[in-house]
Amino acid sequence: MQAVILAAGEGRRLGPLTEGRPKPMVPVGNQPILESVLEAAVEAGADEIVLVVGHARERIQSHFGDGDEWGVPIRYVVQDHQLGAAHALAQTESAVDGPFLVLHGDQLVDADLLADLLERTERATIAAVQSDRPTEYGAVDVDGESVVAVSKDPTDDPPFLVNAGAYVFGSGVFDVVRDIDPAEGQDYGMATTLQRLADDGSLSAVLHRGTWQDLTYPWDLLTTNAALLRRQDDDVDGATVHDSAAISGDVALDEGVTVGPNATLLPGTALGRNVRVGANATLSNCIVMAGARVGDGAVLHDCIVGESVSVGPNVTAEGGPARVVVGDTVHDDVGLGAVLADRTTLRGGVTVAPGTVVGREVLADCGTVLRGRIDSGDTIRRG
Amino acid sequence: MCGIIGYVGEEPAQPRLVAGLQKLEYRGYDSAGIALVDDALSVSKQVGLVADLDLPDEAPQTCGIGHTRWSTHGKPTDANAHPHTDCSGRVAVVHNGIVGNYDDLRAEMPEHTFRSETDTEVVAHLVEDELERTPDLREAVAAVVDRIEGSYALGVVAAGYDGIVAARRNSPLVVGHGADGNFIASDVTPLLEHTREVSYLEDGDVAHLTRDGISVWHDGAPVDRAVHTIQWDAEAAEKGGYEHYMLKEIHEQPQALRQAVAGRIDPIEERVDLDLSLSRSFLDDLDEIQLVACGTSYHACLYGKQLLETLADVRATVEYASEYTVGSGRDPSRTLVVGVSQSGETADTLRALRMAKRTGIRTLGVTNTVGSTVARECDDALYIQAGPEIGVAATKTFASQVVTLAMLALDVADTRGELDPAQGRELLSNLQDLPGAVQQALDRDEAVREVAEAYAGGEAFFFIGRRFATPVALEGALKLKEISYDHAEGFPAGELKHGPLALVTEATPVLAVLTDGARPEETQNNVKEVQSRGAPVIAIASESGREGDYEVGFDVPDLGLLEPLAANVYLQLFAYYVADSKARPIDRPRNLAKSVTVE
Repeated sequence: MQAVILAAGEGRRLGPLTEGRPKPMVPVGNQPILESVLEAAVEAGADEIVLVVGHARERIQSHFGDGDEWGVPIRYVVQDHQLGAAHALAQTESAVDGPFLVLHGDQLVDADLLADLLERTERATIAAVQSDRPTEYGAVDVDGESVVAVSKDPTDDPPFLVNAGAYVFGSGVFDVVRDIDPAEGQDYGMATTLQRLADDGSLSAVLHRGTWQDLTYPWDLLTTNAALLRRQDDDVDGATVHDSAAISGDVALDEGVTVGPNATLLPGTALGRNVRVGANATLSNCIVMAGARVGDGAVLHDCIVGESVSVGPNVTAEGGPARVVVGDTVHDDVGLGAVLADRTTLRGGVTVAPGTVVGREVLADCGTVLRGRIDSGDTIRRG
Repeated sequence: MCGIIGYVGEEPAQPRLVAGLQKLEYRGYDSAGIALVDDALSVSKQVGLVADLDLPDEAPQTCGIGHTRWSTHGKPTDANAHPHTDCSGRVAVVHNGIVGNYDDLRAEMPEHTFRSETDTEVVAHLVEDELERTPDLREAVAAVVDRIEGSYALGVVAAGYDGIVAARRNSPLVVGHGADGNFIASDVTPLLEHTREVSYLEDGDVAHLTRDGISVWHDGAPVDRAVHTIQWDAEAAEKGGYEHYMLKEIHEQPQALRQAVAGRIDPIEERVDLDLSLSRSFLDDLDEIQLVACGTSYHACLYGKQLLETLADVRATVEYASEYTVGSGRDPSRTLVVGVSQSGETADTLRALRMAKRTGIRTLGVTNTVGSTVARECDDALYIQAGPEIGVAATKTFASQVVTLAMLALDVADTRGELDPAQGRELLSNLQDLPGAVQQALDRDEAVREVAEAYAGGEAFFFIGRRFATPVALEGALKLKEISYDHAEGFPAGELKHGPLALVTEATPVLAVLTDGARPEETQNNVKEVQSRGAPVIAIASESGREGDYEVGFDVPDLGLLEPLAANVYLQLFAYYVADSKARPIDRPRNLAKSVTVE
């Protein structure tokens, strides 16, 4: 069966991590979310992958190429304007031959869930899971096996039954999308399409009871990263680690990583390719992306460190809980030390207050204190 | 990565296998081979391109398998090329993947004679054994794959047995249902001229193809695999969604550069290890290193020369390979000639290396192609590990060549006791930061495209830089010439006023590299010179060169002596988008070939 994976969107709520990087390429468990999604699809039996790409698509194409490394042919369909998930799906009409699996490239799914779903290929089917909070993909109301309503914002109390972001469709779905008329205020979100299928009485649901992680906010990445590292075998083979460094379990080190003398890596820490950790640095529960440098004596707890970020000596980010504002919503008590987006430089002795979100290519002078939100490209000096 | 193909049907197999392998050469091209089968088995295989295979003129057999190889470990030799055969010479196997437990399996079969160093050959011998137990080739292969650990896409034929048996696990393999026969292949590209009806095998499947049909088995029971109709342009698949190989390869640079240094630098000990067999005392006593190359590789050598002289305190000279003569006044025992060639087959470079060798000079080949002629004929070989490059205009291999020469400079400097620890530490750190800096430039892809389209109408384009940016200016101009057919010249910025300035007008954009390692403050004067003649200036600048008034500016992060190499990525993208806006055939520019094998 073919699997369509929607990977054209931007993922604004993870900004600034998604500036220049599509959300599906954000690493969790030391590999891009999309890579985990694709592997689950292949494990569940997908024999061809159609990737819908758009925003920063080069990142995706350069990583996955023609799919050889995963033993599955991949072809790319470009969505030039990111109008919504249903619109992205519609771009694949000439590429698929129904029924086919549809997944979101930024929503982790496990192969078990897909196996459940693939038992129902005779009509349009959605996977549903229980969740304590509403998600990006909407909540569903079911009557028996049929879906009766799909809504962006559920009105009941939690727990909700939410859309897990995995579907089986036939070619009929393209007719449904074609009928959407943006001129009449209808949007190309997946919920609209699902609601129409439900209205026609032609949408089923499969309930899934396994694990399911929502990756809407930065702290979700850390929680899920830690959970994945706990489940994986520890992988530290390609790294150069000084004899005196202490590496706990549930840590993943990618190829080319170097860890200096007396550095300490505690559980939940994933270091991407060529990350360098200096002497005496301590990291716990951190995602550190390729090429980043963590200076001597730096202490980072609950941090997401972007590509080629330079963290100077003795920088301190003490970790959550913290209050973080995303868009116009205030989130209290979330476990987030800091987000440091790509190519930001923190010079020696910078202190980062819990919950700080630092944009791309920020320069923070030595000894400064960072808190709140700092825009990409800013320079922070002592004054 | 390797490519496999197989055909069984009504027509002679050989031409179909050859044409198919040529379409798979993007997966690797260092050695190739074909096995044809009827009541006997006939195998032709050797190092080199598919086109160079020494094949029988008359080949009536209608069944066969083929393979094209790209070695990452071990040498490409005729013996290591696929197909591999058993002791009796009746079973032939092509394989893409890794047989993880081949040592163990081999140890269990002491009565067999192994002729290659590959993991694949064990499969042929296992099939040979199984065929003594069962008359059915499919059952034999099914029993063999049960014993293999690792990944595989396999094609197996045997003399006197009908058809091809294929199997896969974690390596790609498709079967094609044709009108006059059936196919196996690593991907659909070679199949499309014969059929668009394909099935994808699943992990653990074993398929038996005859001229009449395809049967697929899984866990000993027959299964049906859906037939798909390919509706799309298959060439697009190889390009991984990019319009051209060149753009794909430009975007592969961060990955290629990580690969180039992988396992070679130890930042904790501050050392590089290139595993050179040239003796330490020879390197210590050197008077001169001569770098010889052509085209883009020549520009990489100009960069490498400066790195060698700066770090290792050894005289380094660069010569066009076609102009090379040993010259007088040199002591052959104290001279090293380094030949740099992406393909390892460049005729001019080979000629120069052979000339040096005849006088007793020792030679080192720097190439992307394991087992190429340059690698085999030189006293030692150093691989740039960039992966296959298909676009005629070299991009990622330039960056990987410079990085490899930088590591060579560090190694030679260390050996000679000339390495300044601070300088060495900085360059090591720069080498590790380079992929991120290249990514930063790649993230500006869209902005470069807009600039390229705005200036594409220029009458001519000039590229200037100093010191380490001079080779990059030359390379930037070469890229633009090659693929857009525009007149482009690169030169050291200081040379402007000695002639080329006469060509500068408001219709000639000037691209200036103003980074560390390129004396940007001096080049800024040249920028003012051309601006006062009305020429628009596109500046690629790092912090030290940023304080100027340019029509367009692109940023390069701090990267010491490697800043010009990161700046080069903007020039590659600029050339690409100028050519693309003129709808040039970017991957196959007129009159040019990827590997120039004539002098």
